[in-house]
Amino acid sequence: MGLLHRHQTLLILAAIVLVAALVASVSPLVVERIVIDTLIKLVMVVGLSVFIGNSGVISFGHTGFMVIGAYAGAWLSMPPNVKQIFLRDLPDWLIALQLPAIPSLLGGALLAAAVALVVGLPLMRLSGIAASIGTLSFLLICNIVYSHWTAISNGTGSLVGLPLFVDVPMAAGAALAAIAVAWTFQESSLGLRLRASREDEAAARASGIDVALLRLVAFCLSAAIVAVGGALQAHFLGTLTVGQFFIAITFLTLAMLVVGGTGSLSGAVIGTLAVAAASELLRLVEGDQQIAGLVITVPPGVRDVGLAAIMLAILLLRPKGITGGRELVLVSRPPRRLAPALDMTSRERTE
Amino acid sequence: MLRLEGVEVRYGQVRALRGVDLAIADGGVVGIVGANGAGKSSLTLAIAGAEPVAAGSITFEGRRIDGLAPETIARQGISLVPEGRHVFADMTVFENLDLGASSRSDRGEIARDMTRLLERFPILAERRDGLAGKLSGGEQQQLVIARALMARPRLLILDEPSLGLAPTMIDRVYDLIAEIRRERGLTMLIVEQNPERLHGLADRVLLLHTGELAGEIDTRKEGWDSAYFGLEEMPA
Amino acid sequence: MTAALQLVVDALSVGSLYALSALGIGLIFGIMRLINFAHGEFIMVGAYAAMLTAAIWAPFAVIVAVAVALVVALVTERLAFRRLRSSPPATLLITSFAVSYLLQNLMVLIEGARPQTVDFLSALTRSMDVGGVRLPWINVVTIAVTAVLLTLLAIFLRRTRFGRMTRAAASDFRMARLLGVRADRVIAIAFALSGLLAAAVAILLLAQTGTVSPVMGLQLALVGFVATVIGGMGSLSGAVLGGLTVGAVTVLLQSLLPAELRPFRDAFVYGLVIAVLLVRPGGLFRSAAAMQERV
Repeated sequence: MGLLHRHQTLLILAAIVLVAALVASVSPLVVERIVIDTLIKLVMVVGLSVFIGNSGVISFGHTGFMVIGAYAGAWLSMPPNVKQIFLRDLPDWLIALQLPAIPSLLGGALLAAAVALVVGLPLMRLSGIAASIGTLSFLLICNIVYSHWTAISNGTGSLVGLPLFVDVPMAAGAALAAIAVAWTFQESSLGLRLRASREDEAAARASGIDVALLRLVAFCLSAAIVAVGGALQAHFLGTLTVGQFFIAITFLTLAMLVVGGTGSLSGAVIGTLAVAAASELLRLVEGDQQIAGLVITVPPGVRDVGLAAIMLAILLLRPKGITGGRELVLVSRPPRRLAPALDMTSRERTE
Repeated sequence: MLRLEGVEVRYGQVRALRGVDLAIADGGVVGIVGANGAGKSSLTLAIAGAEPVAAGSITFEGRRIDGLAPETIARQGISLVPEGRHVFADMTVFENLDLGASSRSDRGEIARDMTRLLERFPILAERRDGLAGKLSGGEQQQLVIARALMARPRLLILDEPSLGLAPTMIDRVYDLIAEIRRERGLTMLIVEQNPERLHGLADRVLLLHTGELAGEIDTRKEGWDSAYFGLEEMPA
Repeated sequence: MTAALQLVVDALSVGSLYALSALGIGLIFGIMRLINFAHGEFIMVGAYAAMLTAAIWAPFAVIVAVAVALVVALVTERLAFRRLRSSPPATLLITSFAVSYLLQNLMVLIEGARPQTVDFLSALTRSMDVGGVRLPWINVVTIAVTAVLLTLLAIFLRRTRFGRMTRAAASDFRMARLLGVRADRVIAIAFALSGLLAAAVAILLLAQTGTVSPVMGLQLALVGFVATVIGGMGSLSGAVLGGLTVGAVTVLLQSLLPAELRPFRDAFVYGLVIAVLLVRPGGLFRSAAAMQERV
């Protein structure tokens, strides 16, 4: 089976991103900004999918990594004179440092991955539900720490003056990179073994698969990707507040993943596009509307209620999401066989 | 009384039961034996409504019961004592027994049945207010059988009542089952790994092999290697 | 000595609210293996109902709060969770999160996102003088109300038929159904009880803080989840003990932490929770019976 055949999903998804980027580059500014924002969300949701999709464990805590990535990116990218104003208490070498876009983003990713390693060590040993609650605790911890540790974050106030380096090429590039990394992990033997544990944890453990370790790897990798998404979001808007990354975006990204279909990378991509589209449509409804000569003021919050309703509808009617957990393919490929990988592990053990 | 036709139970792609046909007459006792993984528990769970039936039908006293909720089937008069005893460990013996009558609402009769069962099972009477989790294996087995009887079932299904019990304990449990048979003429379906115990108790003993009923067994035959029923070792 | 008494009453008071939250969540989790995110919103809705009717007559507001929380709880079960009963736990978790988000934003739609204040039983915020120690009335009332509710709940669970069925369902749902226990009924009971407990928390919280906001439920719900996990999943008494423990730790930290670190108090609490789970993944108070496999 050719390389092309095996990785056609990757190519299809990459094509989708490129088409979106093309559309954005020839559209008016309003549309361009919507597409960039969607691509940023795509990075986040793909990152989320690397963990949730492969391990089957729901994480509410990845938004915490968005916070970490965003602030770390800001520490590295902001001009020193602005940092002097808002972040006086940062170490001098950090204030003096100013890095270009990509190193800043990567710095955020690195910090997030490190934190994920520390936090993940205890969490990944827990059963599914307990681990999920643990990740929620982590989100709260991040929120509290960044809200009150004014030295690193300017507290609940906003950081302004972030360099606005997120344009269509940057967003599309990040999206492509995220998809590529996610696909590589998913198709690797690590990813495959982790997915085996998703279906039947007991059987996987019995086959010698170290579930906690695999989950930890996925957790750290996904944290890095999500952190880049957070940093991109902050540098797209130019301002950064802790409140930007809390319950609302947690819900939005989870909704995108679930609507698309947890467990497949295509689901992450399709879900993001679908929910972003629905979200924009709902946003159009908000505000003053003229219906049959009457002016009706649709209050803000309709969008969120609408999104929640959509998510519930999907969960009740088609819980596996739009893609049903399957990948997008043009020519169907035979399912990956885990057996050879297992045989190899057992052989290694006896030899 | 109970009729299964073409019953299939699937777990994903795996067919645990395929095309099972079974009929139990009123007052009859049928035994089912089979190795681990043959589908014995799937059969009992399917009848009791705890596992969905993928194909076929189950009829009880003329009414279709496949697809009904387990509590509804219990109300129809079927009591299942599942494999592994499953006492409510944090609750007392009394409470466990009382729960056995969950499908009934005649409080007076329930109380009378409770008294009679406690007389019949003196060990349980002794531990009436003790936690069920503290009972020994054999005592727990008695408890779950008594609990099942509290429902005044018309069909009693026992899934491996000897599992995990010492031989003397198994004797006692089976003496009990035989007595219940004599006293009440209850219709029973008993699933076991060991066909010997069913001798004299069951009218028929059937072999379940990889999801299909593969024939009847003469329980008097000796030398059964009960754990390894393979096609090569099938009875003549 | 006086400081210690104050601390103990504080700890019990905070712990009581947390215990009630945890119990509301533990009841449903025990039976359905569902972590009900919307529990925070049951509390929030109850609080709003009390706030909107507080001006009429305080006892009336209490009744309204209870009624509203009950109705919301039962409707949520009927519409959102009933269809998903046999779904995998992850689906249930996300669904309850979606319901929670929906209810939160519905309230934003109706009442706006800004917090609102109300004078509700504010007389209770006064303190009484007990041998030199100032004890706010509301703290004592909270402890008393919690004690009464827990006692009533214990009586219901232990002495009534429905209570036994509920306990059995929480212990081994499938086995309970095989004995004839009606799943629909038991789950409705659990949600109704959950709604009652949520209303109690709402009323006590409203008396204590005088504020409502659409997001007020999150903190309490999270503590409830955390307490349930620490207490040992599926154990009702564990949930209560877990709630009391988290409350005690919170109050202790509040008094022990230096002033600069006090804003981070909750972060420390959650950090401790994660540390506890590292050492005892099954929870602190898990009984041996909880280890029994389900049918």
